[in-house]
Amino acid sequence: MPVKAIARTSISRNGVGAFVSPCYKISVNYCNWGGSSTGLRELLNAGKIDKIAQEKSNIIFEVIKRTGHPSLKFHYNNDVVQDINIANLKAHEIVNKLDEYSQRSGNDLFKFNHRVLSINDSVRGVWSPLHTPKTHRHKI
Amino acid sequence: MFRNSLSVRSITSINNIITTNAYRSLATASIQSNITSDLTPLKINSNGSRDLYAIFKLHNIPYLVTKGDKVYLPFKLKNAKVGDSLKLNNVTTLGSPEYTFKVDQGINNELYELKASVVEITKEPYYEVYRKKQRCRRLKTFPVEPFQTVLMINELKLT
Repeated sequence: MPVKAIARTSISRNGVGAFVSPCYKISVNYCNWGGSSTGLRELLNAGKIDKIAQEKSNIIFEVIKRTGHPSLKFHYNNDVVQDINIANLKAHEIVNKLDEYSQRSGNDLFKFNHRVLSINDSVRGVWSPLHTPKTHRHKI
Repeated sequence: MFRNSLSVRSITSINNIITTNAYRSLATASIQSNITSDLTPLKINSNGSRDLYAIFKLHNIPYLVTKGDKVYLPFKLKNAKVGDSLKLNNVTTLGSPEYTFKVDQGINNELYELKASVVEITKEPYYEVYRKKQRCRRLKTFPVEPFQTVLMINELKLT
C-alpha cells in the first residue's frame, strides 16, 4: 500500500509571515462651526493630522466636514467599524485616541487569563500511562 | 511512544542523557564529534522546528511558545509599535518531545532564533474596583482598563 500524506490546510496567521495592519482606514469627521470640534480643528489647522497620516502610511485617512459632534471612524479588516466620539476633547487627547485605536485589531476586548494562546498541537504531547513501557509505568 | 522530559543543565551533559535513551546510535555519533554545544539530536528530533518549543523570559516571567503562538502581555510593551518585529534573546529552555536543553542563565543567542512581531496593542475590558475606607460611608470607585500587548511568534528555529 502506498503511503498517503496527511492533508493539512494552512492556517493564515497575521504576523507569522507578513503583517498586515488590521486598521486600514480612518475617517475624521469635523464640524467647521461647532465648539465641540475646536480640538480637532486645531490639529487640522496645524497640519498634525497630515503628519500622523504620513507616519501611518498603511492607513487611509479621510477628512470629512460634517455638522454635529466630531468623531473618528476606524475601519478594520474584519468588517468592524468603530465610531469614537471625540467631542470637546483636546488636541493631544485626540492624538492619543488615534494612536490607540489604530493599533487595535477590531475584535472585542477580552481578558485573557493565560499567557500564551496556541492552536498548535502540544509539542510535549499528552501524558498517558498506557503509552509508556511496562518497566516505566506508574505502579500503585 | 516513550516520551521523557529531561532537563539538562549544560550543553556538555546532553550527551550523557542521549546514552540513556533508545537513540544509542545518535549518541555515539555525537560523542565521537565531541562538540560541546552540539544540539543536533534536538534538531533532528524537532521535526523541522514543528516539534520545537522554547521558554523565553520577559520581565522574568516565563512564556512557553511554539511557532505561530500568540503571547498576551498584560501591559503595554515599552517603545513597541504594532508591526514591529522583536528578537527575543532571553531563552532559558529549548525542547522537543524527547529532549530538553535548559540553561537557567539564558541559552547562547547563536544557538537559536526566536522572533516575535507586535500584532496588537489593545486594552482589557473596562471594569471598576470599589474600595471602602474606614469611617466613611461612601465607596470609592476606580476605573480599570489596563493595556494589553499581543505578540505573534514569527520564527523559532535552531541555527
